[in-house]
This record gives sequence, C-alpha cells and structure tokens, in this order.
Amino acid sequence: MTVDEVINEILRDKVFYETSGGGVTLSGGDPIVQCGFSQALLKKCKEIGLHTAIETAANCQWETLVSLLPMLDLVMMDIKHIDSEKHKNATGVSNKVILDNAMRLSRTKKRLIIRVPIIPGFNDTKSEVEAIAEFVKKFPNLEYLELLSFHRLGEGKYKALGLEYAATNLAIPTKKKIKELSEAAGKSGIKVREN
Amino acid sequence: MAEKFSELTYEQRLEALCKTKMQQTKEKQDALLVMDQDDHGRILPPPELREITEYMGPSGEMVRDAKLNNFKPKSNHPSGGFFGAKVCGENFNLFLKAHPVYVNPMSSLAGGYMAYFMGYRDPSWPPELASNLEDEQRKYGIYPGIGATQHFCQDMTIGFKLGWGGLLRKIRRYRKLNPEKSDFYDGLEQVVLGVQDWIRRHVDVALDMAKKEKNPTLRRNLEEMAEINEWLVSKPPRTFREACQWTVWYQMIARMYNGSGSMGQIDVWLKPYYERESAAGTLTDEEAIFHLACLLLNDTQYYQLGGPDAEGKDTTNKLSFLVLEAVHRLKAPANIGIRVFNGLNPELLRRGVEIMFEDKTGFPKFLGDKGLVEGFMKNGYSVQLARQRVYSGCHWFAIPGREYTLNDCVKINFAKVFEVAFWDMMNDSEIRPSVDELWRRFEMHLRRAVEVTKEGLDFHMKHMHKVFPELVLDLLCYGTIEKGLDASNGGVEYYNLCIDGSGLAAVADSFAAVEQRVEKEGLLTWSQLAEHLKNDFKDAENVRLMLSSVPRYGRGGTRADYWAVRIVKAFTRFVKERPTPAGFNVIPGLFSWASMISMGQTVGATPNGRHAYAPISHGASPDPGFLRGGSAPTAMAVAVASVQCGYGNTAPLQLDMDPGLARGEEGLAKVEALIKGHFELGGTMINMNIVDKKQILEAHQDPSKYPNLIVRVTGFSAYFASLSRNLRQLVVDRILSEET
Repeated sequence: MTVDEVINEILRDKVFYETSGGGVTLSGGDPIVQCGFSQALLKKCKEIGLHTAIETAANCQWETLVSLLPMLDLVMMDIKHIDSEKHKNATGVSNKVILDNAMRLSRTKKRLIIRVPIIPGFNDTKSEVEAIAEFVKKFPNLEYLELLSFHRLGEGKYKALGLEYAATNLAIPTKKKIKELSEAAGKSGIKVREN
Repeated sequence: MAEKFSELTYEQRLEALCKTKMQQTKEKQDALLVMDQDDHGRILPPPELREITEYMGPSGEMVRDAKLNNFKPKSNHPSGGFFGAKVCGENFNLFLKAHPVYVNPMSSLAGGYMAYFMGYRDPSWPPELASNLEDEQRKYGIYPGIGATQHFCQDMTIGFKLGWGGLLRKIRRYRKLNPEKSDFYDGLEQVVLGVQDWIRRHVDVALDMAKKEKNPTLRRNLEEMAEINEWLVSKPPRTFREACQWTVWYQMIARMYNGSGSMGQIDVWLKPYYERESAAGTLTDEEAIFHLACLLLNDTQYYQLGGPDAEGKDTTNKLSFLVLEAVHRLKAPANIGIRVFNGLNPELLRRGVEIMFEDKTGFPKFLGDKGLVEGFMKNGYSVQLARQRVYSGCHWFAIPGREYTLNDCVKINFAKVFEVAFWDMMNDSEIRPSVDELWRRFEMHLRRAVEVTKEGLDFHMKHMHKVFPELVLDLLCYGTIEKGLDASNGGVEYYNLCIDGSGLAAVADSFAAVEQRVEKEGLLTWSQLAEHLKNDFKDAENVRLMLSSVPRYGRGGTRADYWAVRIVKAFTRFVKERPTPAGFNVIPGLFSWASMISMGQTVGATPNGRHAYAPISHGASPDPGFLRGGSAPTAMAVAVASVQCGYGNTAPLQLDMDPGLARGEEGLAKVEALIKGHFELGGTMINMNIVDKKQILEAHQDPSKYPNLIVRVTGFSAYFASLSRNLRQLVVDRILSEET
C-alpha cells in the first residue's frame, strides 16, 4: 500500500479520533523494521493534524528511533526483562540496546509508556517486575508502566505463516496474578496500569 | 411460618415478580412456539379461556396466538368482520368485559393483559375496498401500510390532567359540538367506559384478596391498590404511584386495541409527581424504582430518556437515572433510548454505557439528536418542534399527541426492485446490458415503487378511519376529540408519513459485484450471470464466491460503498421530490424491523452471491462478514452514517460487540466516543448488543440453556429463546461475523 492509501483508511475514522482524543498508532510486528514507510506515514499524519503514537520493541539503532521522534506524540516501548542473559535466552537477543534506548528516550521530552508483556515462566514474578519498575522509576517523561497480560491471539498468525507457535502450552495469567505484579511494581512510586 | 408473614422488602418483591415473569415467558414460549417480535408483557389467558390460533407472521414464520375464547365480536359487515368507530368501540368494550382481572399482590400496580383485539378482526380490511395497487406492490416488494395501525405517539399528560372521567366529559362536551360525528364519539366513549369497568373489577378483586392475605406487606399493598384504583376509575392521578398505575391501564388498552407501544418521555411526564413527593418526603427513590419496575414489567413500551426540550435545555433529571436503575435491576427486555446531544448530562450517557456492558441485555439504545433534529427541520419545521419529536417506537420518533406517522409500517424491498430492474434489462433484446443501463432501470423502477407506495398511503389515509380508527391513541391527542376526527383522518396537526427502504447492502454489493466481475474484469458475461442467478448458482459455487468476494458496502472507500450512497440518495430524492398525490409529506428512512426473512423469500439469487430466497440484509446494515478479519464497529459506524436519508427518520446502526471492548474506565470512554462519533457524522440511532460468541452459539443450539439471554434483534429487544430458528440464525450470523 502507498502512504496515501493508508492515509485514506486512517481518515475514515477521523471523527472517532476527535471524540475519543485518540489518534494513529503504528504497531506491528515492529514499525521500526519499515522505518522509511513509517517516517513517511507519520509525517503525513502530522501534516493533517492527527495525534501519533508508536508501539515498538526499540531494538534498533538509536538514530533510527530518533528519526521518527519529531513526528510522534507518544512512544510505547516494551521492556521484557532487566536480566540480559534471561532476555537473550527467551527472545534470542540481548536487552542492552533496548535498555540503552529506553534511557535515551527518558532524556527526551516525548511522552513515554513502558509496557511489560507478562509471560508465564519468564517474567511473571514480583522480583522481575520490581526490577523493571526500579529501572524506569526515574524517567521524568514516563506516563505509566503497563503490564500486558500474555494472550495467544498471535497463534493464528504463526500458523498462517507456517511457523511454529512455541507458546502453545503457556497459560494466560490470572487477574489475581496481574494485580499482585501491579502492586509490586507500584511500590517504586510509579503509576502502573494493567491490561 | 413466621417468615411467610413477615414484612417483605422491595428487593424481595421484585425478585418474586421477576421469577413470575420468567415463568410466564416460558409458558408463552411453550404455547406460542415462536415470538419474532418485541418481548411483550402479555400474559397468557388462563387455560379455560385460551384459544390457540395460527397465522403467517411478518417475519415469514408461522406463528401462534392465544385468544380469549369468551369473546366474539359483533359483526356489521357481510364479510363477518367489523368496521368503523362505533362498532370497533363497542366490540372493544365487550372485549374488556370478557378480559379477566389480573392482580399480582407482589406488584404495586394492578393489571396484566392477555389478548390482542386485532386477532378478532377477520377480515381486517373490507374486501370490497381494493386499492388496485396490489400487482405493483407485489412486483416491488412493497409493504404498503394499508390498514396499518398505531405507530405514532400520544401525549400522556392529557390523560394525567383529565383522568378517565375527564376524558369522558371531554368526549361528551365535544360530541354536542359535532353531532354529525356521533359514531366516532360513540366509539371513544365505549373505550373509556370499557376501561373504567375493567378497573372497577380490579378494585373488587384487590379488596377481596386483601381480606384473605396474611402477609402484612401484601395485605397493605392490596388495600392501597384497591383504594388507588377506586380513585383512578374517574379521577386524575395524584401521586407517583397513581401516575404509574394510570400509565399501566392506558398502555394495556393501547397494546391490546391495536398493538401500540409508544410512550415517549417518561422522565418528563412523571417528573412533577416524583419531585413533589420526594420533596414532601412521601416517596423514596427505592419506592420510585419499584413502581417503575412494576410499570416496565407490565409491558415493554418505548421510552426516551434525556435530550433537549423545545428550547434546547437537557431534560435529564434524577428520574432518568431511576428509570435506568429499574431496568438494570429487572434485567428484562426494555426499549429505552438515551437521547445523545451536546447538552446531555454526561453521567446519563456514562451510566447507560455501563449498564449496557454490565447487563448485556442490549439495553439501552442510543439516539442521535443532531441527525434527528437537523433532518426533521429539512421538512420545513422549526428546531423547537423537531426537538419535541421523541423516541416512542422501534426505530422511530413522533411528536406526542400531534403527529401521525405510520412509522415502521411502510417498506420497499430494494432487492426486489433491483431484481425487477435486472430482468427488465436482460429481457430487453433491443439494448446491450451494462452497469449504467442497470442503474438507469433501477432508478426508474425505484421511482415507480415510491410512487406506488405514495398512492397506497393516500388509500390508507382515505379509508382507515372508516375501517379501524385509532380510538385509544385518539384519546390522548390534540384535536381528535375536539374535531371529532380520527388521527388518521385529520384529527391531529402534523402528517409525516414514513417510507423505509430495506436491503440496502444486498443491492449495493450486487452493483459492485457486476461492475467488478462482469464489466471491469470480464470474468463473466451478463448472460452467464443471468443463467447463474436463474439457477441459484447450481454447480457454480466458484462463481458465487467470486461475486461475493468483491469488497463490500461497509468496508469504506469501496465501489460498494459508493453504490450504497448512490442508492440512498436516489431513494431519498424520489421520496422527497413530491408529497403523496393527496398532499401528505413523506419522510424516508432505512429499516427492516424483522422482515429480512419474509422480504428475502420473494427475491431470487442476487449478484452479491446471495442464494435465492435467503434473507436480505437488514435496513442500512452492511451484510455480515463485510470486513473479513477486521474490526467492524468504527467501519460500520462510518458506513451507516454515510447512508442516512437525512430528513429526520432513522437508519439505525446495529452493533454487536464483544464484552472485552469496554474493559475499565478507558473502555467505556472508547464506546462513548464511538457513539458520539457516529452521531457527529449524522447517525440517528444505535442498537447495541454485547454478546459472548460462545454463549450465543450454545444458546442457538439449545435456547433453553440460556432462558434469560436477551438480545436486541433489530430495533426491539427479545428473549433469544422466544425467537424462531431463522431469526436466531440472522442474529448469530451477524454476531459471529464481527471480530474485534
């Protein structure tokens, strides 16, 4: 699709952005992977006066992220684990770049939301969540930390792509569990939301 | 022993009443099999008075009705039927005399209704009065509304001021001024005398029951009931409870006489009673909620909450919230709409959305003031008058006591018109088929269908008052008693007759399909298409799928969306270009009520891939599955907003949403934003369901598993278990196709 085609789709829902105070969020996958297109699209959105946001793992060069910042009103990035080793074991990549980018983002004035997808057996303990909360608690531009309950909605996509879905046997965290983790994270004094 | 005779709380009484309602509903489902309509508060007659009859219902299913076997109407016509004000009034009086008394000691309000007077009207129209329009009506799938009843709104405050005694005096006073209209006044008098007599019988029974009642709460309740109704036989209501009781009597005779369920602004006409007694300390909110619940249990009528008064000020008050609370506690079907406008108390909207997601009973509805008012003004009316047009029916609005509308009675089946145009083109050997030619013929036939409909309306308006006048609604209108004229015959001030189009998506998608596959891509010739349609895609499933996979109306920005707008613009133009030949203003809308099945039964296969005689799409709704794998609510909201006719009648948006959509405060705010966004774009009404997909599938397999499951079918709400399999299937298809 071209940028204009996407903009046409976006504009169909314009009235709802106005009534809800919402806007356009680039998500994925990871929109950083298609940086050029993301840039062009975000630029057009700003020209029209739309509120813009991005959901990203921020596992990229800082310069890439910086190129999008002027056109973004809000950045939502994931931090899955503070421990680099555990992060690599589970995701295949180290978290160094991610954490560095988070630090750098905290020095900009961009509204920032840090999201933690809670994965059973990986980061669903109080100590892990507290560690992330400690890391971000001094970020001056942090709106809140958001705990996202693991779900299996992606299973269909993997199957459709002929890929193996490794999380088939994982159970969805209970509401009680998420509440406990949320309270633990909140001890550091930051605002925490659950989803 | 002690517990049986201890005082009962309102909560306990309401629980008992709800249990009774469920028992009565089950009884109805067992005896009547299928109720493809609003869930009515109607109770079955006792077995010894019950006569079951069968007939073809409007949704295309055989339906049963239960009549009172102790009533036989007097005939004044060779056909065996009865026509005209005098005999209709007399027969209704006799009907009420035959109607049993119903008192449930748990309820604060006496009365329950058991039969429909219209079931005895056979024939319902004098056979010698033929419109000569039947052929064309059949040709175009027109539901002409000839002989249609009610579907406009009375003004309850007239009744509250006068009481039954005052109404009788009014009738007698004006009878002297219009002696030539004596038959009409006879009819009206008979209705009032009939209801007075019926009320008196309840007084006697309540007193009798009180004497025997051991429970102190119930004994007191029955004594009060007797005293209140003794007063209300002739006098106007003095208290909140009496006003609710007066409403019960009126709504029961309105429903029984000819099916009327129009109430209007309950939070306005009950407000003076509520405020006076609250201030005096003689009515608590708990008591008010209880009386409202008893009123709502008596029947599911149509009400509006909030909205602008004539001067634009919000009518929302404490009572508006109490009404919501009453339905919330009942968890029964209810047809109440919140009128959303810029000045609406935001807490009322918020409470409505909260209840929608908490109770999942398709309640409340949401009404778009901007589209309604601006649209109605385009007919040449003032903004003050437009604001007074209140929600009082399935998908419609009327000015209480002053406007005759035939709302929801008159329909044109766009798919049938399309079929006529298609074969008209294909059978013309002189021309080459093309999309342009198809459109030209569709316009021509649509225009003719609208003309035939208008002629039918004039026929109805000319004769209806002589056939079956609106004797009950006439009582609470301005001008009817004064002039001695039925509301259908010049008795009221405003006449704005409704014509609805149905099946928009079927036609829009069909135009897009032939444009794409036949004309642009050349994958199919016109003749080949015609053959496939004739054969209902026999051995051509691939062709059917190819046609149905063309992007559909609702998706946004597609050719089908373009065609939908074009069809509605043409329809609106044809309706508005001229009044009826007799001069009645007509207002277009888009709605099918429950007729998707019966309308589809007359239409063969269509180029959107629809099989022959399958249901057609509902009103303005995109066909289910129009947005594969995508999130539908905003797309639908934009699509339906784009096809509003724009003259003050509605084209409702039907939204079936996942319960997960409104998680937490943010979730509710998003739903509110969706509602406001649709109305900002000109939308007029939103009907919503919050349904768990798993539950609806299970309920469809075995409805008895979920006897309390309530769905908003189209404009009306009903127990899922009361619906026919076919109508349940339509609801299920709609819900399953939307993924969020």
